[in-house]
Amino acid sequence: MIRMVDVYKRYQKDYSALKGISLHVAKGEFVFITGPSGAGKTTLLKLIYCEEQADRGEIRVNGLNLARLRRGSIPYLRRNIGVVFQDFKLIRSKSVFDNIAFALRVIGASKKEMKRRAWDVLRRVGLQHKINGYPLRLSGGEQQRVAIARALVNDPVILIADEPTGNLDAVVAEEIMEILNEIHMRGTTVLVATHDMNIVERMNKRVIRLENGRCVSDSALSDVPASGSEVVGRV
Amino acid sequence: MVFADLVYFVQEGARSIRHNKFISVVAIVTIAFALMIFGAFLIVYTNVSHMTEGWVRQVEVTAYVREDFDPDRVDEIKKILWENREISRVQFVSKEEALARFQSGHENAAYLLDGLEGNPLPASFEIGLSKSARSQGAVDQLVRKLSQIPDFEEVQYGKEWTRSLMTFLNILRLIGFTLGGLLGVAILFIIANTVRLTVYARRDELAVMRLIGATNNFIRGPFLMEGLFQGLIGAVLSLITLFGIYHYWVPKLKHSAGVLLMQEISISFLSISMLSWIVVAGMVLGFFGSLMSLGRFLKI
Repeated sequence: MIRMVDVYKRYQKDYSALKGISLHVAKGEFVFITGPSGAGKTTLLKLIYCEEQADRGEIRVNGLNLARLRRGSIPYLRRNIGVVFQDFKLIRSKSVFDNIAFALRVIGASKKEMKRRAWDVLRRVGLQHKINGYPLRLSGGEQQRVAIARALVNDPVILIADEPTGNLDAVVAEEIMEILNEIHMRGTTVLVATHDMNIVERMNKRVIRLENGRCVSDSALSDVPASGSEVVGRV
Repeated sequence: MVFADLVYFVQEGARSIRHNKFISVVAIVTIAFALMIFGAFLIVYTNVSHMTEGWVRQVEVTAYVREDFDPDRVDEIKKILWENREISRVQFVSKEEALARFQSGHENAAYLLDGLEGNPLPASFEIGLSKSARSQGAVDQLVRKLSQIPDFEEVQYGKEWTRSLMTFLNILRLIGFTLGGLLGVAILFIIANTVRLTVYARRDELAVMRLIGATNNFIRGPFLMEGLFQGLIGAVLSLITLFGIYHYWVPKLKHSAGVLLMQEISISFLSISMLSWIVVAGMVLGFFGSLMSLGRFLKI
């Protein structure tokens, strides 16, 4: 589903965010990307949904070689990838329904379809009663559930979550992780970047650890070489 | 683009103006002010050029006929003259009429003619110029052409006066176009920057749109509509204000300018076509202002 071979990303001359990352995430897998702040977790995720482009190396997502993807095709790739952020990124001036329906409008869904699917996805995250509410009136956990609903509404093949529990207390964080796990159980490939090791340990999933832009360990591999460039994890 | 998208763009554009009231008001007022300055400039320009063109209309060419001219040929000569499109008016002044005019104009100097036998004044054709003759070259050419008509003894016109007038008109046009052009560009940048404020205030929204896979055109749509609406409202507002100012000040201005120029002057408001052009210009400026400011927020 996602394959990276020897990927490098540099932001400024003297700052390399990723140094030779190689990994493989199979279809339907649940993977945690962990590591301290500045390890390159967010950059790695951004490369997958084309928010950033790699300087070197090959990235394939859902069979597509991202280096060869035309700019005009990027929006269509993104429709297959749901993204969830620490700060939720909901549009404050739109209601919960409109925030979710917006993702459907982009793909040209009919009004009827929008209502049906928005309702459906809100039920999955347990927020159907807040369909007409506005983001600022919701708690942090509720906002994150709306964000997840928005990411899910187009039935993406990959769900990416960048520190989805970073702004939430432990109980709510647990709920969010349960929702993500349930999404994974339905067959979606899920990638979660987090530095919250409590969650990672409790979930018992594959863990890829980044440090200083290198992949230093991968629980899917019994032995990880010191040089990250040769690491290819596979389940 | 499907019709549903267009409806969505219009709804979103309108919703966004309602939702971001403060920034929208700033943008609309800026557009209104900019277009008001432009409109005021247009009023001054059209009125001054209208007035000058009126003066040009008064420039006449007088063709004096030979002493032996046969008055029966007046219609024939008129026909020849009418063949020139530079000519808008032809009037024949017979010897008798010329004398009568002289006498009525110089009542105190009638004795000047006393010593003369008969009527010494020649008959003439007074020729008015049309719009197409409003350049020095065109007038000169017409005069040369008329001089070749054998019936004419001499063709005269106020050369110096016409020359100064034409120069003035040309300078006026040059200033008009330059100033108008500069104002237009300045307004475009002002609007682009103001609209950039509205875009900047919603950059998170833009980021979300990109992330959920909206194409750039789909993201642009509502913003361009918003710009279009702001331009439209701004333009209408500018015209209403301008008309208010015109209505209040022009009678006073007319009075003082009339005293100064010692003649009755008329100051007209913008014509209907100009009004519609300003509204269209407002919409176009709002649209392109949005387009210009969206650019850097739409990186993939």
